[in-house]
Amino acid sequence: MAIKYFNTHDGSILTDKTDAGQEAVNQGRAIAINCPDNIEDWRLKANLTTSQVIVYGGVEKNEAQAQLQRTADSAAVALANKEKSDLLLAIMEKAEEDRKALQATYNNSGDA
Amino acid sequence: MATISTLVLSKTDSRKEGLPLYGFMGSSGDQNEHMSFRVFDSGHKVVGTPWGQGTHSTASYRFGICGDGMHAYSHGADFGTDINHSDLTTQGYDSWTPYNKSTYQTDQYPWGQYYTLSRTGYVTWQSYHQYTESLEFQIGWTKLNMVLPEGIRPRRLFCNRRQTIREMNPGNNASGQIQYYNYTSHMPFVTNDYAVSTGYNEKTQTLVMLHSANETTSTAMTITIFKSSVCLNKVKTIKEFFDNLTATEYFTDTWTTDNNKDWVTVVGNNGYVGFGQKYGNTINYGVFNCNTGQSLGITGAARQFSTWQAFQGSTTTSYSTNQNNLYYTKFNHTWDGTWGMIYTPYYYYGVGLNAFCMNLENPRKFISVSVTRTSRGNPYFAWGRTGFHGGWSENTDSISHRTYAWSFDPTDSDHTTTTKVLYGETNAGTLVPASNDTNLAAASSITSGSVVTNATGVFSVPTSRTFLHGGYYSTNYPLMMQVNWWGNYGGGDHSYTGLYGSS
Repeated sequence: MAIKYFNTHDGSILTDKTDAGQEAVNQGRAIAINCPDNIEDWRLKANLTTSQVIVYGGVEKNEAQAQLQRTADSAAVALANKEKSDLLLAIMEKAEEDRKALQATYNNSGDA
Repeated sequence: MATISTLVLSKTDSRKEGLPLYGFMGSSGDQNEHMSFRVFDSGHKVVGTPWGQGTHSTASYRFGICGDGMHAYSHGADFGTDINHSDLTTQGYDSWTPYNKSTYQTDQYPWGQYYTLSRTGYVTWQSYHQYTESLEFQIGWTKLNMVLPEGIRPRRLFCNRRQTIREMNPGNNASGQIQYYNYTSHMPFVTNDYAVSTGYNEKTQTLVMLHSANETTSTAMTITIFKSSVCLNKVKTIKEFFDNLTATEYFTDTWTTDNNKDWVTVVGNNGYVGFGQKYGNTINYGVFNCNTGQSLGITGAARQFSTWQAFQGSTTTSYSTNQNNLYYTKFNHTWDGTWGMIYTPYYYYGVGLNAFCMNLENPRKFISVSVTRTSRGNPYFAWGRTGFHGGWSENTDSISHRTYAWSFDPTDSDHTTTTKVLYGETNAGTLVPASNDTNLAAASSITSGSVVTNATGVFSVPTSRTFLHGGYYSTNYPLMMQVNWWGNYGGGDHSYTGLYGSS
């Protein structure tokens, strides 16, 4: 276990250097948390409510496995966003079709 | 009343621009139905010219009044689609679409590695065919790092390799030299004869070169200082600069490196010179006294200020010229030319920021600046008068866009005191609260500001809202881009009206 420092503004990793980290702690810009060894910094994030570290992918995964999980997570988010975007597009297209149908009905009504 | 002579004497340098602009591109996922391109100033006010496209279904190739032939406007063409929705994480340059968002895309020079962009919003990507033979890929690392007056970016392109400085037409091209000059005869010590980094200070007309025994891993260094009575950016021939040398000195040293193409040389106004270099996953920074005529000697030990400083923020796997030439360590500076930044990405080939920011009056004043993003990044640009911003490309659907933005005090050049950094917020009411700032050197006395210990301190940049939308009503991840020309300072098309009445 080793002390690392995390930003109070978003829980992201700041540094593992004591001088730089402690200065940020003293100014309220960081918190110090004991972290498991042999985990790459990019996988570490602080839970600012509990002051506990969150390890992306869990401590049992190595970096390659964690990256695979992130790729999958990112794809899942992208898919969810695309589905939402497609749904909005479908709603717009349906609205356009309805408008055209209404226009055609109006044109055929003899009032045009 | 102004006389003709005072009017002439106060003429603004024709190179001087207004405050920095940036391009902002957003689109639907497939870029067929909707795409927008806007240019904003440092206050995030639009300054570009409107343009549009005319399709509402799959465009098999390209569209847009810009008529650009590259993937930005295409679907299924040479190099893929979907710049905006690509998530740069671990990809390198040949993942063409995500790498547009790499920190490595931009530096102090007014173009990107992949594109050029006018202030009106006319963007064009360069061809990726034979990209690995381009200037930025092959020898972008030989460009001079220039310390320039307020509002000025490099408008001449000098490349220094071996013992020859060559001038090129500025841009990412291989269209022929304008001129060249072999300066070997002016070197007082020629043992190490491969130029690996060069810095120029226009105020002091000083050129500082770093030569090594090779362009790869040699640790033997010769640092040569050339002071001239004429300015390199004003002379018609490079030879004129060397013909008018007023002082030439050198020193030698052994500097640890894993690739000499990563060295960055920043020549301060006070004669101290900062050298930065990426080494493994981090960057190191050292400052040397390169003043002449002070009998400082010919060893690095006799001239070094303090010791080499390793970057103090978090580091993780990240890459540089050890992987390919175009991943060279970058240099940029604030609009007013008072602060510089030597920087590389935090993660792999382009996300986040591992940076040293240094005062350009006195490079002994420096701090680490950190952004630990590992995806959805963007490049960094000069911003406002004395700052930088960029780095964020999260989905702006249902949420306002943000940047990592921070600025310095242009008068803050004393390396014996802490450095004040000002940053933005997500909430403007927090940024400008109903309480006073006190101008003490303590973070607690400054709203949205920090004070950071010189050399060993690190500042991690929070995000601030730009209150821009990404350019599309649904999922979109906007791309930030470098603008060629920010507009004539004081002219009708510039975007800064501060410092009223000055030129």
